[in-house]
Amino acid sequence: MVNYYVRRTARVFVTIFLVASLTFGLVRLLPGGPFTLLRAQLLRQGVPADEVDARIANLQNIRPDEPLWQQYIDYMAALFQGNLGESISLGEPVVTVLAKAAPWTIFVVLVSTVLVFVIGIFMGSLQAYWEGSRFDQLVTGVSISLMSLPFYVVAVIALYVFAYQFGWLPTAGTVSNSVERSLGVPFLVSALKHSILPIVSYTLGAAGGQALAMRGNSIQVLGNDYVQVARLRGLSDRRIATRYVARNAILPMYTGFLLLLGFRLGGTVILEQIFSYTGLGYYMITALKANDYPLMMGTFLVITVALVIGVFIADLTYSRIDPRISAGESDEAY
Amino acid sequence: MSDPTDDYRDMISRRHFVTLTGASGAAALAGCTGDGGGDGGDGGSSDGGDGGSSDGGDGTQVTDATLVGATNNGVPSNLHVNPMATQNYDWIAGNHIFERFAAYNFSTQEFELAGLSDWSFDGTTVTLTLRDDLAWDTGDDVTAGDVITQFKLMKKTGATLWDYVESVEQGEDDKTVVLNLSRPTNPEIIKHTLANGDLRIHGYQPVYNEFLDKEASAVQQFKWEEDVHGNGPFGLESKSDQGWTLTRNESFYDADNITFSTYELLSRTDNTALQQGLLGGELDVVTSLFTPPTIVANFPDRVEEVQLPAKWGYGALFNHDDEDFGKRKVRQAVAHVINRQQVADNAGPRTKDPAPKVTGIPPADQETWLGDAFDGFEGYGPNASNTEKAASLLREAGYSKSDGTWQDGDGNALGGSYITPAGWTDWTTATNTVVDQLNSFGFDFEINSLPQGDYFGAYIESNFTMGAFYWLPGGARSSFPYFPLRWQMKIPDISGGHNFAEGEHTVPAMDGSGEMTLNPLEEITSVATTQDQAAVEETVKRVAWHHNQNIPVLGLVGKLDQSWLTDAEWDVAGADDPARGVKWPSHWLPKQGKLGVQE
Repeated sequence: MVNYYVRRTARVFVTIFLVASLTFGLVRLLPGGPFTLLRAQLLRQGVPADEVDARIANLQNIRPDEPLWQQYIDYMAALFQGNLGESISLGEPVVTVLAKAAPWTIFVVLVSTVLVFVIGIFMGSLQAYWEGSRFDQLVTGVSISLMSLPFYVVAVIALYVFAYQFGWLPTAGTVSNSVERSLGVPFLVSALKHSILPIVSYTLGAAGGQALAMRGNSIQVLGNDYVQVARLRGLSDRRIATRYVARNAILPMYTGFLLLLGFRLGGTVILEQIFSYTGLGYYMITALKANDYPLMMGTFLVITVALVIGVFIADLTYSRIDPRISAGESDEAY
Repeated sequence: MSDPTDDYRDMISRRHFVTLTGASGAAALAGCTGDGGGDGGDGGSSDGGDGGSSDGGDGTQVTDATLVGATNNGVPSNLHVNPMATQNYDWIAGNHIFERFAAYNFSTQEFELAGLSDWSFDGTTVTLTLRDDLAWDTGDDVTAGDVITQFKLMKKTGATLWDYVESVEQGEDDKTVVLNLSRPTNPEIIKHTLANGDLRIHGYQPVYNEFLDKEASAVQQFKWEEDVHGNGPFGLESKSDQGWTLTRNESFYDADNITFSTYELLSRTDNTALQQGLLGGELDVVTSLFTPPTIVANFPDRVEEVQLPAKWGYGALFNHDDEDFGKRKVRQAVAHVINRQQVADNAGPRTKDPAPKVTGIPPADQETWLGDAFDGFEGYGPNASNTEKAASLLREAGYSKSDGTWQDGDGNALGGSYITPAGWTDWTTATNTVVDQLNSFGFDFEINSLPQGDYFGAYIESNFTMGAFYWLPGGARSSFPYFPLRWQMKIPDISGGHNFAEGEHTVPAMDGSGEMTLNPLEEITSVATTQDQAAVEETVKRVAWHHNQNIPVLGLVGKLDQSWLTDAEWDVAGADDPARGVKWPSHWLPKQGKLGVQE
């Protein structure tokens, strides 16, 4: 058993190492150097060419002219110490930028993913309970429609209608500019208002999918012998629904939840762009536009590490939740 | 107004009911002006000792209202207001905080002094006199010492002003700065350099003096974010991820003209967000924003568009080292084939005009500068494809047409990759039109759309055959032909990557008889030191003629900048008011008293 946890933990580090190496390589394959855009901007501002070269040389943040292997070793060594380098375009440590941005993204993704599962499980259970009813048909239809609509389409429509047309919700940002940046009621209310549209648009379609999954699981469980036995024992519908059906139907969705948390972090790149929501995804686009290697790799890493950790937690805890899975005898990862 | 859901109603009610009076009897409402104007260090102005309302003792009525604009330069918490920095200076905020020396009015076509009360030009001496009442928001005067510090740092950072200036010193008093020129220089050039919109008076000595003894990199990497002191109409109150908050600077010399307390600049990074902000009423002003006709048509009546000449626009750039497009006749053929009117119509009929003649002078200024010679310039059919002329030129250059494609003697098709910047939507349309016209004629071009960095990179490294590029340097200075004519030959924006050969060139004579040989770069450079207007005009005509014949850059369309104001809640200068002719109205009008709270 201990061996299992050790192997799982080792796998996390190997994965992160490989991801870091891969992102380093992929980012370097991007056309153009990190200063191409800056060079062009300075030249357009009328800065003489010699002066542009001098200015770029003055930016001591990184040394893109060093051999690639040297850059790689420097990067990995720094990474090992928790140093992601300094953003070329923002002139700040990447860790600082990410520390400012990550809470917003985590907040939106976490709330949205929890909502996806809560809504999905609730609707799916009801559908299974009333299988074949008009309610079931209606919710199935709505779920399929929402699933087929990409979240960014929902986001753009929601932004246009609720923010620009009706003016009920803010159009951009994380908190109103006029609200003081300290934890208090006005701050929380403002932050909540700003997050409603991103969360709703990120939740709707995914919730439909989870509802269908939950419905399928529940119907499958409902057909099991132990449910029939429970009924024969005269147990209440409520008890059967919660203790026998829901528990077993939710079980397979548990790993999905953790994985989805990680995957959905990646989706925020588009979501945050639409709502000018200054989270990780927003900075990833900023970094991409500026060929800002350190910032780009920092955001990549945070997102992939989150996914890896999600899988890791799922691996470690699944056997605890489902006693049928004996982790010690199984080498399967979830 | 700012965030409609957080503060909108609150703000409206305050706007209507809370009107603060500057000096007289404001005591009852003192403290509502935001923060007493930043430092309040000048609170000496008799306010009955409460110190809260130090509105300058001018009796101006200041309403607690917020004008909401936007910045698209990034997230303000990552930006700063050191204009000398290499990266992340937000000029949209900086231009409110720091006053400019002078401005060029596109309506009157004249210079207007701002932070200066006078400038005089005498041989190799330029004397700049600062306004007596130009002060920092601490209440201290802006002195010659501040400007000298700034100019000395600009020398370190290689600013263009120092192309003409040899030294700078204080004049007869601490409001006078003397620039000693290296040679007699045409005053227009100095004026355009000083009136450049982004050149601001920002050399606050307590902050900048320490950089005088350091390498240029020190000031270029300095982020001025805290303890910011300006001399413009607004001072920095705070900044966050969401935007800048600026408050009325009571020490500003024309503070009387500013009738509202706060100027917010929200961070909106893409055009759509800015357009929607105007559409939905979130934004009151937008400094500059390209907006296609379909969206303009949807704007409500309260949104006003101010069109200003950009002196900039879509053109085509040749690599003069290319064995085909380095030939003048091939370039002329290309010019004949392209229907400039069609390019303008497709790319933006409201904001784009075809260049009447192909030369290095902005469309609106061509007739003024070329005078009677204008008609003699080759038009290259601005609204038609002159395919016969083009075909004849290509044949003369040794090409022939086979299977619908022009080929050289070895059977290689005439064309290549036509580079264009990705994401510049109006330019993409223009490029599609141009390439379609060229290929229909028999060229063999393929569009290569590149991200901005790579796009400029390709030009800088001369790694191209032909592509889309702007044909004028842009801004007020382009109205003085010295700048654009010279620029087309050197294109510093791409380090001269188009490889236009310096030295002498022979072109047909202007009067149609024989040929003329001239060194266009040398001739136009001489304008910088010529103070005789007639000689300047003659030189401009000759060099413009050379550009018309030799085509260093092919100018196709000129563009109008679009700046946006709203008048539902704001009193805005009328459409005929020449004050709207200074870039940018959202910066210039409030301090002129021409953009204020509606009564």
